[in-house]
Amino acid sequence: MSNLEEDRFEAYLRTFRPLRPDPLPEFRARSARFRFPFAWAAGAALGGLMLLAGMHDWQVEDHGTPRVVSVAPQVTQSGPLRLRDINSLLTKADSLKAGLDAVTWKPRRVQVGPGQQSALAVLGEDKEKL
Amino acid sequence: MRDRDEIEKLYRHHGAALVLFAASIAGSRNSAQDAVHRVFVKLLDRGLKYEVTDAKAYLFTAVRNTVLNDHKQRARVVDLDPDIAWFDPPAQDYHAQRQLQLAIKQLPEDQREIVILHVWGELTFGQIAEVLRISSNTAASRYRYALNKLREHMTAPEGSRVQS
Repeated sequence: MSNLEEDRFEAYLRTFRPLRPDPLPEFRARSARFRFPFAWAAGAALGGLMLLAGMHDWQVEDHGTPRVVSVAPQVTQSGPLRLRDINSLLTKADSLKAGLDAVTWKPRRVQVGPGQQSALAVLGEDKEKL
Repeated sequence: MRDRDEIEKLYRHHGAALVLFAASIAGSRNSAQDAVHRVFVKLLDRGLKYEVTDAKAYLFTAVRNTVLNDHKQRARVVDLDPDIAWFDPPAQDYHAQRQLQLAIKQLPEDQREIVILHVWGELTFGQIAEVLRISSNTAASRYRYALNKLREHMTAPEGSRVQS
């Protein structure tokens, strides 16, 4: 057999791959740890989240005893709702929810003084589309 | 002592060839794997010594010694089992795989070892000489004989092969 034939035959033999042995038990446990290197970190993060959720539930339960639902303060003045009115309502309200309830938009009839025109009314009359 | 990672790397790289080599001496793949495992467990316990310059040759020598010691203790000749696969054949050619195993089985033991060490263990003739305690020239000439025999066997028609 010439050297070339020898090399070719050798290359052909190498296409048969020896079967892999079973991993050593000593390496098996270790490779599982290496396969999921961040598993412990993910577990710790999950645990932390669960702890936070638990604490939150505890706090809610602690304050969750029946209580008087706060009544939203009403806008006493007539006229448009302005930013300072919203600030005032939010600060006076017992809770954020009550404050938000108070500032929800309600239709108000705006009184226009003599010689004045409502911009909305003027725009409503304009039939030309912009 | 070298660290555990290096030993694990050696097992990953040479484990398959070491088991094949051990199976060619022991006959059974199970006892071959067992011998290779024992060598690595020992290495993990004691570490790979710094004076070992050629880790690959060292591993093949250690595996060979372990298998030969087992043979002595069992005091019996183990016939190679052609039905247990040693290889993952190319293109799932299981017929060729069986042919190759039969051909390897028919080689004299000294030639069989050299073929496996050179082709699948990827040892140089110098390293083979170290493992088998023979000269490099002897290893190379035995290899050529073995390769010719393998080729003859694998290209010969089915009925004309001598079954042992």
